[in-house]
Amino acid sequence: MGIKRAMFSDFYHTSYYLLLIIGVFVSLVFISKISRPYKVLCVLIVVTFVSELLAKYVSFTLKSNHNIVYHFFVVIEYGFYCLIFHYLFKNIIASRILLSSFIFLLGAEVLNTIYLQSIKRSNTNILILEAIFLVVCSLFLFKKQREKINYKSVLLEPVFWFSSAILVYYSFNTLIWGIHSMKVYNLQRPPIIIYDINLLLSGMLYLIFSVVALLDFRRIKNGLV
Amino acid sequence: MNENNINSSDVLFFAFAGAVLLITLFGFIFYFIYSYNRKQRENLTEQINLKTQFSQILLQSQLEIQEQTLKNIGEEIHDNIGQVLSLAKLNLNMLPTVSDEATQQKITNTKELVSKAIVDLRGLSRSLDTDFIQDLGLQQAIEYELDMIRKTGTHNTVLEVEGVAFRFDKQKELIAFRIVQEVFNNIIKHAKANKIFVKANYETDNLQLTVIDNGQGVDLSPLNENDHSSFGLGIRNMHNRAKLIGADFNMSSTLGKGTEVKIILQKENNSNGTVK
Repeated sequence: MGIKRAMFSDFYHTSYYLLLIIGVFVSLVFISKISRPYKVLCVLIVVTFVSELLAKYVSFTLKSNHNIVYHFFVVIEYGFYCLIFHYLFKNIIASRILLSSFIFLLGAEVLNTIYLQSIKRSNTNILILEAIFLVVCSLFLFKKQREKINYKSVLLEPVFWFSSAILVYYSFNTLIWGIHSMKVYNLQRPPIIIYDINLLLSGMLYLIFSVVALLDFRRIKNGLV
Repeated sequence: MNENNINSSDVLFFAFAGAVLLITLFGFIFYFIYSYNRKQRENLTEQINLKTQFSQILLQSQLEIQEQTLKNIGEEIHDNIGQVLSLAKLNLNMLPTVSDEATQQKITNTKELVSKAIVDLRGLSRSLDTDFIQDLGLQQAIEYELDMIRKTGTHNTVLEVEGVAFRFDKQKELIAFRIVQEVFNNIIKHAKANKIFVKANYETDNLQLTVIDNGQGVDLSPLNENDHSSFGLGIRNMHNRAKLIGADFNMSSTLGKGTEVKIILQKENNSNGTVK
């Protein structure tokens, strides 16, 4: 996020964009055939791809700072996640908490941009906040799954893969952006490997999201919904 | 701020923190899968138990209804048809002796037929009567049933008892007797046998009842292919009844040589508490 590099410049970028393109392809093919929360997930994958293209456009064509794109994207992304969790929890209290957290994140983003991390800097504070919210949501989703046991393997449940992917990815995000912020504030450059690992993990996240969509499609096809 | 500022301790710290986080997260996910699967298995076992319990209760209710029906038929035979036949016999006895020898012979034959009908009906009435069987006990009831079959003159019957006989719960004995009765009925109707051999072995902690006939035998292979014919259902019913009282039911047959049915009744088994 902090370093300007082309889409297919190295192994990590190539892997990330390739996996993201696979995710977009799967999303566009299956979006009409899957259940509501995963439709939103597919839209999120496409929106992510568009935002990445936009960031590259801003960076390479307009020769401007691409961080502005991520300031908007993080809030939009969290909005999509809130909608997905709202459909998965199917609980009025959970929906209210999700809405409140979204408003809180939006407010935090505005204040963060004004007072702490300007539009030209990476908004890692909000990224950490978003990651913490999503980790908590994924843990509650695990709890919900344990309350309602199905008679088929948990590994065939899209919700299991979705919550696992969110838990692992956003826990690492907290670590990565935490180290990033820590180093940046100490005026040292964070090790570049953390961005590369983040790119790989992001690619894996979208790949697992594609698997989630496919599992849900399979579930609907087999009449299990 | 350039890449030269990066020192190896930063990378090491990141690697260590990342590894700890990775282990924790995957540990959590694996534990979740393990506990989910365990709960899934528990639910499945509970569901199977409930299904078994339900089918046993259902079977028990069916048996109770059947017993009540048999008892009613038995009472009806004894109190109604038996009385009518007794009256008929009385009337026949009150007939004056006729001079025509042929007519007299016919009257005597009719008296004998009516007497036989009364005895047979009394036997039938008793074998249907739940209380009578329960009072008599399993072994005596089987003996009584074999006696009735022998009196028809179609089958030779043998009862062999090994060991010291002991009693079971009355309800258990009644169900075991109904199974044996069903086996006898099958032999009479389908086996084309002329010998029925019953062995009651009390030598171990359980009762092993073996019923052997010398009939044409039966092909039991359809039973292994989810057969739903009346033949399959009859045997399955006997099997289910045996299960209800915690007994083992085994059937083997050789075509042309006869059939063997073995029922093993456990002394202390209360069959999940549904029937004592």
